Amino acid sequence: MKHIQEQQIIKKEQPNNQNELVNILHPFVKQWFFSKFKEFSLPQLYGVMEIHSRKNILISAPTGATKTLTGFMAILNELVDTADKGILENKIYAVYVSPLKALNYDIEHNLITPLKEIEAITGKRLGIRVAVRTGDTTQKEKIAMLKNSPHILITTPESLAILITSVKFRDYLKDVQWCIVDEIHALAENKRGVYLSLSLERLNHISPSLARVGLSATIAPIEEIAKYLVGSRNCTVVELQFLKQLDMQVISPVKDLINVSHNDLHHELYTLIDKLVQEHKTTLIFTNTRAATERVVHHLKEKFPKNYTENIGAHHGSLSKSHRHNIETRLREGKIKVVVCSTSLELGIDIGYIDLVLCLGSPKSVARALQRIGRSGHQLHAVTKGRIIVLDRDDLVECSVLLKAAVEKKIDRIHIPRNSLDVLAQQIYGMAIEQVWDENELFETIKKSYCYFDLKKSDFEEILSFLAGEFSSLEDRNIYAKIWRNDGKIGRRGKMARVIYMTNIGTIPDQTGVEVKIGTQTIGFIDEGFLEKLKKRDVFVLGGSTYEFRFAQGMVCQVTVSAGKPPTVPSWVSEMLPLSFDLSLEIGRFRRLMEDKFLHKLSHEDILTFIHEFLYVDKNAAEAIYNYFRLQYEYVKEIPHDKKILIEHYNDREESKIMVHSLFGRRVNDVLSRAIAFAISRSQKRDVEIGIDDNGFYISCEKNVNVLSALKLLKADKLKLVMENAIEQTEVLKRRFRHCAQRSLMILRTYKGRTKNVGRQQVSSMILLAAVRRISPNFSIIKEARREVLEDLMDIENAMVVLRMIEEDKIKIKEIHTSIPTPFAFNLVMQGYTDILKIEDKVEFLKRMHQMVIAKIALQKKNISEDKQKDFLKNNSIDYHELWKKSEDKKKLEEEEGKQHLKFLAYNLKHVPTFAKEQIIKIIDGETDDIRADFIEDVKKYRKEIEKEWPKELKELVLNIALYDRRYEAARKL
Amino acid sequence: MQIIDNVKIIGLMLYLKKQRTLILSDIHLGYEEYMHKKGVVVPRFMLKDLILRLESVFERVKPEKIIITGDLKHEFGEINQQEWREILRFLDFLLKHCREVIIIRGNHDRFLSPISRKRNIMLQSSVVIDEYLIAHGDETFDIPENVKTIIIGHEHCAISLKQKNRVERYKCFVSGKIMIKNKDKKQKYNLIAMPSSNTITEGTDVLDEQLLSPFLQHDLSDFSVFVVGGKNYDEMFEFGKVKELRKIV
Repeated sequence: MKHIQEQQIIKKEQPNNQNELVNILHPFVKQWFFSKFKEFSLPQLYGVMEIHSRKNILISAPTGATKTLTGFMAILNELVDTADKGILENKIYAVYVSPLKALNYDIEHNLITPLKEIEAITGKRLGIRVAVRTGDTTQKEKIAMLKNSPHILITTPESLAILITSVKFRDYLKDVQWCIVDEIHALAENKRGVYLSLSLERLNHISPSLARVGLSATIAPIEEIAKYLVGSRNCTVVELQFLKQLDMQVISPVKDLINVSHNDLHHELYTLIDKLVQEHKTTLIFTNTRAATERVVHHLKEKFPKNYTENIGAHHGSLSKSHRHNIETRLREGKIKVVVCSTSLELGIDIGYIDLVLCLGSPKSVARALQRIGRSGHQLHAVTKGRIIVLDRDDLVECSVLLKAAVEKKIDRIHIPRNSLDVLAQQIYGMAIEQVWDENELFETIKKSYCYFDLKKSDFEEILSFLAGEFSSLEDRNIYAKIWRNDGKIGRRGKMARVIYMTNIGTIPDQTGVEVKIGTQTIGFIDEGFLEKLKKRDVFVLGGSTYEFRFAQGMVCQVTVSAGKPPTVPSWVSEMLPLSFDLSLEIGRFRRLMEDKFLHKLSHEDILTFIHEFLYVDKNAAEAIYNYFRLQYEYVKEIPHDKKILIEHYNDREESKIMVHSLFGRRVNDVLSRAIAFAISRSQKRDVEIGIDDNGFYISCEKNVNVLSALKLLKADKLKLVMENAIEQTEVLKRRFRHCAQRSLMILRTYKGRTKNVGRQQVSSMILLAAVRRISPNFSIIKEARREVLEDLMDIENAMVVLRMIEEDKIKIKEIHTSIPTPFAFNLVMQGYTDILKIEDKVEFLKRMHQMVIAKIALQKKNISEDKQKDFLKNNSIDYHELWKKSEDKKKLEEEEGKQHLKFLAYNLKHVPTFAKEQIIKIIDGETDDIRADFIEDVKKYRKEIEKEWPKELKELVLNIALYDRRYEAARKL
Repeated sequence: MQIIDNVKIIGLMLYLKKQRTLILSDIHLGYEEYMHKKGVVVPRFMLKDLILRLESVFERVKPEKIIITGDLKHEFGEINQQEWREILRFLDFLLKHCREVIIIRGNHDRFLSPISRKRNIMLQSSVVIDEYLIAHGDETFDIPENVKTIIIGHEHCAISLKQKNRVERYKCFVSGKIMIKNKDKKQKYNLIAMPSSNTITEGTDVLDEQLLSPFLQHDLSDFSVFVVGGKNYDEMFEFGKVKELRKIV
């Protein structure tokens, strides 16, 4: 029987002392080090000795805490020693893996320069070679590396896998002593990290004495990350989370976030940004989305042309590599005053001296906030200074709680994807190219990775069977098989195997945007998934303006400007960062404490003091938060929180929505809302519309539905089954299937020297999905797409936690009815719908559409008078177009008449001052952007009278606009 | 369901009752291998799927003739292995169930005759049976005197139905009257355009997209739409006229 050794993850509590470290250093290195530094830094005192003794170690510390040098010091020391003795071999001693491609600067800084300096000090040529191998490495450089192996190899996860598979290079990788994984926090939570974890096992398989060194920013849970780094082995953990002094504040551009016009808020926001930027030397601004990045740069330049010229720059993923590189270089050289980025500068590379970080809107997780703000004061002991600017009251509460968690060192936990079958397929293919494997040995090797430690044998078998083409008939199998299976062994098949593998390696799906154009002028980019949803004449929002869709040609989408028309399709929210579950619970807890204060009828002063002390916010913010909660409490006497879900039945003349206040973050709400919608639509046989945000979700349906009973019917242990059905028809599953098919090499991006564009891939994947479903609805790659959607994109695990708490009555559910939504529901109401849950079968949908069309045709026929009908039939098409035009004109006329009628009513209102009537006319004309604040105040003040006396249609319009339209403005103000 | 007198829709096929003739369109055998060559591993399912559907058709009708209106195979420039094997297998299957198989040459069928010759079938550019003219539909040609109805494939007719945010595409037949100048004489014909008889993709939206066939360059406003639905393409829905649908859907 095999002896199973318990894995040990040990926290290192005490650092080594300076002398211990000095003693292990080679004289050259010692001399060099103290010529540059006075003493060892804390991370070095903790880490260098462990790396020196070839122990696995994870070092978690903020950016700029000399992590990289810590990682390399013991390795440099060893290599200098070996070189000095003249026994340096032609092989790789250390591999350094980073998710970033543009590493040259950092490597120069941390490796090449020290080596040069050591050589200069000692006057001896050591001959230690460092080489960078990424997708950008030239053929010439590759050949040079093959001749003379580097001693330290700098690479990316993708290139590492290629090198392990390469016949010649592989030999240099057979005695690697260390592997450093940098920016591990950015890898562990996605499939790229899963991929790397298997590559590390492959490297370990040929280099058995490998020690792993992980470098991470502030992250939680640290033990899981350590396990991710080492798989089933032992690991030392060094956690130096809060070395730097943290100066972090939440600020609002205006005192009162609700009674302010969009224009004023906009103005104040940019004035505030400008003020902060001017007070500091270099500022980095994070905006969360690419579009907002552009907007902020644009507005700053426009409003303060003297302050912002060449000294401001945008940095995000859609910009060209050279543009981004240029910005980074100028930042480092101190030649730029302010850089606005989406999320792209969160990671790694040294960007020089920054003394202020601004976050516009919530960073959505504590770890991310620390990561961003940690970009300032990029030296070990400098103060980090960050300001989060909030733009609405939900944001204010969220960021204030986030601030509290950051100060109190409560870091939210990340999710590490597990048992991804698509990545597994790609890696097994690579492994089969490497050598012939015994199936059991292969399985055991894979299970050493943390991402696969509980991989089911049946899933493993399925992937082998998939790769061996066993899904096809015997006579076709030679075409479909990528590997052979025989007698418990597997190996590669086909002459093309290596080329196919090397040119299609990786896990990041192609995501080129569709270009949106008016004529030849480019407006911007939309996601291809979004394009799929568009039909002729649909109106959508892009960069703050509305456009009407005309047609698409390949990856170009032609539109016309459509000012003033409301969008008919929801804006694309895939870019939005989800609120972390842990942080959402913290916000829920704060809400609960607040409700408690109101229930116990605490005084205004006492509650203010509580907020002020609990949240570390200033008086103004405390007052704003107080008012927000008071409004909610006084309106319905219910504040939803972590132990109470509030179901709000909101009904006004036109629509009824059922809003569920469930503050658990978008990823959990995605699951809850779809599961409920599915349960409802199953019984009602109708498509259900859902809208989701971090604070809750809504459900809307043509018929009345009972959300409460649906929610209570859902059971945690059945949730997975329900959800698998609920997502089966969704766009998101189709899209994720394409990604999975690509990763598992069912769709080859590059084949026979040709590269497929995304559009082509999408068409292919639709056909593929249909074909694969015929083989089995549980085909491994479909199964993986479902898993990815439910576990990685959404958060079914924590949704189950919530449901369990409902079952155990730890979370209570309350119901209320409103005709004007509660303050906490404003943002949700204003949001367009996110998705239609297609419950109705495609077959059923057709039947219903048929009935509808037939009914409408009958109705139309009745409406066309005898004469017209004759004409219509006689001259068919030409008359038809005229008729169409006429009816359109008529519609417009009716609209105009409707407006005139409303205006007439407005003029005839009694007890209403002229200025107010003017404002009402503006509202009727749809010019709601700059309604005067005093008018809004008055409407609120005289609401009762208005409700009683005004004509119905007028009062509805005005109340709607006055009471919450500006909330809509606030939500999209950036 | 009957489109016009004597012409019935069965699944994705047409049946001329009096003539006991079954018409199939745009099957595109060999598509999986074609995709495979482009680097997309699509498992083979089309032939199996087609034979299953045909078997159920043969339970309902016993045709004497089967006409394939073109694009039996997919590869333009060559014959792939799958085509050799599957087309022969398919023709053998059809010949077991009828007396004669007629194949019309589609634009994809440039290299079909080496295969069809093995079963002694010659490719035709069009076929006239009584008053019906059956052609692929990619080209125009002189139309014999007695023809009243033209049946074409090529276009893979479909329509997209939309309600709110939901869009679904369905295969359909379209049928209507067109005027064609034939030998300096304008004449009126019934035109029926078929969906593809394969189940890989739905096809081209006749309401919205640019159509290819010269027969469909007319204004289609007054054409009727017959949508094929149901899990096994066994339910038919008459959806009114194109112009009405354009307005509503």
